[in-house]
Amino acid sequence: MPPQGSELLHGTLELLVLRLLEDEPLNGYGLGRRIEDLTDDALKVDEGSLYPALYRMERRGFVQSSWGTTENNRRAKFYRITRSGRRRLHSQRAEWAGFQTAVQKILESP
Amino acid sequence: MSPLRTFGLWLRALFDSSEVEGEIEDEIQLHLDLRTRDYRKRGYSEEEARDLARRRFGDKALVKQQCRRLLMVERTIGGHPLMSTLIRELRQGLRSLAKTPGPTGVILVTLALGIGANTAIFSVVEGVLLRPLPYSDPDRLVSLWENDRLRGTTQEGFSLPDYSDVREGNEVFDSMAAFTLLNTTWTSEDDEPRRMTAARISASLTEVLGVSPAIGRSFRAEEDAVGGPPVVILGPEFFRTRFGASAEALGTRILLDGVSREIVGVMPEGFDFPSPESALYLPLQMSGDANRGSHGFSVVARMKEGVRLEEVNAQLQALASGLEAAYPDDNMGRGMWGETLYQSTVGDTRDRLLLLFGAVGFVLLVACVNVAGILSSRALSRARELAIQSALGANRFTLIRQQLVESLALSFAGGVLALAVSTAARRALLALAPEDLPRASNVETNGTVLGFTLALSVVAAVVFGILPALAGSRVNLRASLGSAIGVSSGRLRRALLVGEIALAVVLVFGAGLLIRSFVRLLHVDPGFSAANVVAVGLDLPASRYPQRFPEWPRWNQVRAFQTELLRRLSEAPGVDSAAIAINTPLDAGWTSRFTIEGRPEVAPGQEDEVRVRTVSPGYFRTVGLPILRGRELSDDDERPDAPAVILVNEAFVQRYFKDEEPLGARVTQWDLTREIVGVVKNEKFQGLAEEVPPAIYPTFSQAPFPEFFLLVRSRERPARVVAMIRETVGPLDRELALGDVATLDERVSESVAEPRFTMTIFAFFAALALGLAAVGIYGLMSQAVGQRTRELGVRISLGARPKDVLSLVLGDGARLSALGIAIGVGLAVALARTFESFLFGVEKLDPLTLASVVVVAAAAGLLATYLPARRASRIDPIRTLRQE
Repeated sequence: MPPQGSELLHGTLELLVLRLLEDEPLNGYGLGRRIEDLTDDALKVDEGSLYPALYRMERRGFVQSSWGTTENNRRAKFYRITRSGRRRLHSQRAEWAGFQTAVQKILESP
Repeated sequence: MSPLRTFGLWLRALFDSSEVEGEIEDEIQLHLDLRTRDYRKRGYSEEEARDLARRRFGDKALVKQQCRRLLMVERTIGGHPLMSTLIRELRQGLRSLAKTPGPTGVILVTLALGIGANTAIFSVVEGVLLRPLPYSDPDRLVSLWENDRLRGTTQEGFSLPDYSDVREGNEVFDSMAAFTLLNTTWTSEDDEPRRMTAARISASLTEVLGVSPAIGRSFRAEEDAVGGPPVVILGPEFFRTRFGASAEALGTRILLDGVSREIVGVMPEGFDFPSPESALYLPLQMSGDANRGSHGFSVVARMKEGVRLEEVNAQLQALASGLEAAYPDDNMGRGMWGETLYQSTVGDTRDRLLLLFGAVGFVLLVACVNVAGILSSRALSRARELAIQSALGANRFTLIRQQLVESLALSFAGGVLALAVSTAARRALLALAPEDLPRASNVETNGTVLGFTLALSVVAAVVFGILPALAGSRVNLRASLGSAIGVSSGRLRRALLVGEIALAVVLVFGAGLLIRSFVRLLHVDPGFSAANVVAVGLDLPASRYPQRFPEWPRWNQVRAFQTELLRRLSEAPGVDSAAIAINTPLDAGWTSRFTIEGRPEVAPGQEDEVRVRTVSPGYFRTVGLPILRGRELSDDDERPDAPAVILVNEAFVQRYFKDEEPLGARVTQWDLTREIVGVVKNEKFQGLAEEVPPAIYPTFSQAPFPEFFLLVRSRERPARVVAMIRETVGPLDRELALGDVATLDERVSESVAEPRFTMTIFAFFAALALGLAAVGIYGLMSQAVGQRTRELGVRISLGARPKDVLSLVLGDGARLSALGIAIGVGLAVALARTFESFLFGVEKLDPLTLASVVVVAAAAGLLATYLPARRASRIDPIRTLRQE
C-alpha cells in the first residue's frame, strides 16, 4: 500500500503549486512528486484535483503551459508561473501567514 | 493571443473537440505512466503498479471532463462561462440544423439572396454616395452656377468675366477655379489619331481641390494667360496606358490638335475631375474680358474655414445684382448660386440609388419573414424537446437564447454565401448602370461593405429569429406532450404569411409603376427615325483649318472639307443619305438669343433664346424628320451668294407664330438675319421625357462650325458603315480621329439608361420578393396542413369530399392572402409619393397598376396555397387515424 499522508488543506494547493513553479517550470506529475518529496510524503496531493486546479489557474492567468519533453524524452505539458501568478503567490503567502498566526493563537491560548 | 488565433481556436473547439481531448488525455496518461514507474521501482509488479496508479488518480473520466470544460472556456473568450454555454448551444444548434438539410438549405439560399442583394446595392451606395470626394477637406468645395430669370433657366455655366468678378469681389472663398471640357485629337507617330476629352483648367484648380500632381507640377499662374506656353498635364489613365507610367514622359512633347505641347505634370492615380473621361488637362489661357454673354465655364470654389453654404449663396446673390446693374446688356436677370461639389457630382443619382436601397431592404424583410416561418415550423416540431428542456429547469431566457444563437449561426453562414452572391450581383449592376454613373470606379467590396454585411447578418438574425424564439419559448409542457398545437404558433404563422404578401405587394406596385413609365417613355415619338443611322463626331483643328472669327462665316477650309466629305459619302455604295449637324438628335446642344423682324423692340439682354441646330441640307432626310410646310434646305442654299435661310420647328411656330404666317418671316441670330423657308416636325432635344423647345435650323455654309457630327443613313451593318466612313475620311485628312461613334438607336437607348437601370433593378427585386413570398406561403401553408392532418382526416372520414377539403384550405389561404394584399396596397399607397419623381406619364396611384398588382399577388398566393391544399385533399383518413 502507498504511504498515507494528510490531505491538503482546501485552498493551499494553489499556494504550493505557485511556490514550486517559482523555482522552475514543472509538469503535473513533477509538481505532485515535488510536494511529496519535500514533505517526505507527509502531504499527499489529490491527483484528481491537481489537473483541474492547474487548468483553472491557467485560465485565471497565474500559470502558462507549453509542451516540452521530460528527461526521458516523453512529451509533457510544462507549467510556468506568470507575473500575475507571482503577485498571487505573494498575497496568498501573506494570507497563509495570517491564517497560521491565527490558528497558533487559538492553540496556545491558556 | 491575437484575436485571429483566438478565433481560430474557438472555431476549432467548436467543431472539433478531439484536439482538446487529445491534449488532456496525453497529459493524464503521462502522469499515470510516471506514477506506475514509481511503483515499479518500489517493487510492485507491472500490473499492480498500473492498478495502484489508476486508483490513486481517482475518476479519470471526471477529471478529464472538468479539464475539458476549463480548457475550452480558457481557449475561447477570456473564459466567460456564458461563452462556453453559448458554444455548446451553438454546436447543438448546428447539429440539429444539419439534421434537416432541406429547410436549412432553403434558409441559407434565402438569406444569401437577401443579404447578397443588399450588400451589392450597398457597395454601390458606399462607393458613389457615402465615400468622401478624394480631395482635401471636400466639404468645403462648392460648384457655382448661374441662372437666368428672364429665360427661366436654372443651371448655366459661368461666363469668364463673371467668374473673374466673383473671384475678385467675394469674401467667402479661399480660392476659385474655372474649367471647361473640350474634344481634342491626339496624333502620335505609331498610332491612329485619337479623339479624347480634355479639360481646360485655370491654374488655380489644383489648389482649390487640394491635389498636387503625382509627377511634375501644376500649371503656373503666368502660364495661364492668353498666349501662354503650350503645356499639358496628363491624367493618370492616359499616362498609364499611353506612356507606360514612365516618368520619362515628363518634359517630352505630344501633338494635340496639331499643337506640340510640353508635358509638365501627371495627375495622381484616381484623379478624375471633372469627369472620368477627362484624359488630359490644358491651361485655360483665356482673359477675363472675354464675352460676358457666353456661359461655357464651370466653376468650383473652396469656402473659407467656417463659412456655410447659405453665406456663399447670400454673397453670390449680392455680387450677381451688382453685375446686373453694371452690365445690363449681358447680365439682366442673371443670378448666381452654389451647391456642394458632392451634390453636383452625385446629382439625382442619389435619389435613384436610395430608392433601390429601400427596395432591396424590403427584399431582405421578405427573406427574413420567410426564414422566420421555416424556423417557427422547426420550433414547433421541436416543441417536445423544448418542453422537456423547460420542464428540466431551462428558463425562458435560456430557450430564447438557444434559438437566437442558432439564428446567428444561420445568418452568418448566409452572410458568407451572400458575399459570393453580391460579387456577381455587383458586376451585373455595374453592367446595367448608365455609362455616366458618377464615381462608378469606386464601387468595390471593402471593409465598410464587409462591415455592413456583418451588421446586416446580425440584424437579420434578430429579425427572423426573435419571433420563432419567443413562440418556441412559450411552448406549454402539457400541451405539447399531449401533442396539441399551440394557438400562438398558428397566429404567428398567419401573421408571417400576411406580412410577407404585404411587403411583396409594395415592391411589385413600385415595379409596376416604373415599368409602366418606362414603357410610356419608349413609346414617346422622338420625332426623328433612329433606325439605320450611324453618327460619328469629327473635330477640325484650327491649326489646319483656320477659324479666324473676323472672317466668319467665310471659313473656306472648314467648309471645303465638309462639302467634299459629304459629296464622297453620298456617292459611296450603300449610303442612302448623309449629313452633318452640330449635334445629333437627343443631344440638346446650345441656345442663342434671337429676334424676329417687325416685332416690338426688346431691351438688349432680354431677348428670348432658341435652340440652334446647324445642319447640312441632307439632315432632315437622313434622320427622317418630315418637312411640314415650305421647303427643305437645298444645295443652292449652300452657295456663298445665296440668301440666308433657316428652317424652324413646330414648337417655334407655336410659340412665336400662333396666328401668323411663319414662312417668309425673318429671324436675326448671331447678327445674321435669315428668312424662314420651312417648318419641320418637332424632334426631341433633351431626352424623350422633355418637352420639345423652339428650335431653328441654319445651314453650315451660313454658320460654319469646326466641331460636328457626321450622320449616315445606310442599311449596311453599323460596323461596315463606320469602316466606310473611316475609309472616306482618311484620304481627306490622315490626322483626323473619329469620336463618339454610335448608332442613333444606341443614343436613344443611352438617353433612357437611367430610368431603365432603376426599372430593371427594381423589377428584379420585386420579382425576387414575390418569389420568396410565394415560397414562404407554400411553406407556411404546408406546415398548417401538416398540423391539421388529423382534423382533416376526421373530416374526410366523416364524409367530406376532397373538393371540400381543397376549398377549405384554399379558402384559408385566400383569406390570409387577401388581408396581406389589402395591407400591402395600403402601404403602397402610403409610400407612393416616393416614386413620384421617377415616373413619366403615369400617376403615382395609377389604378391599372394597382389592379394588376392585386391580380399578380393574388395569383401568386393562390398558386402557393394550391399545392398544399391539394395534398390536404388527398389525405388518407385511415392511415392518419391509425398513426394516433
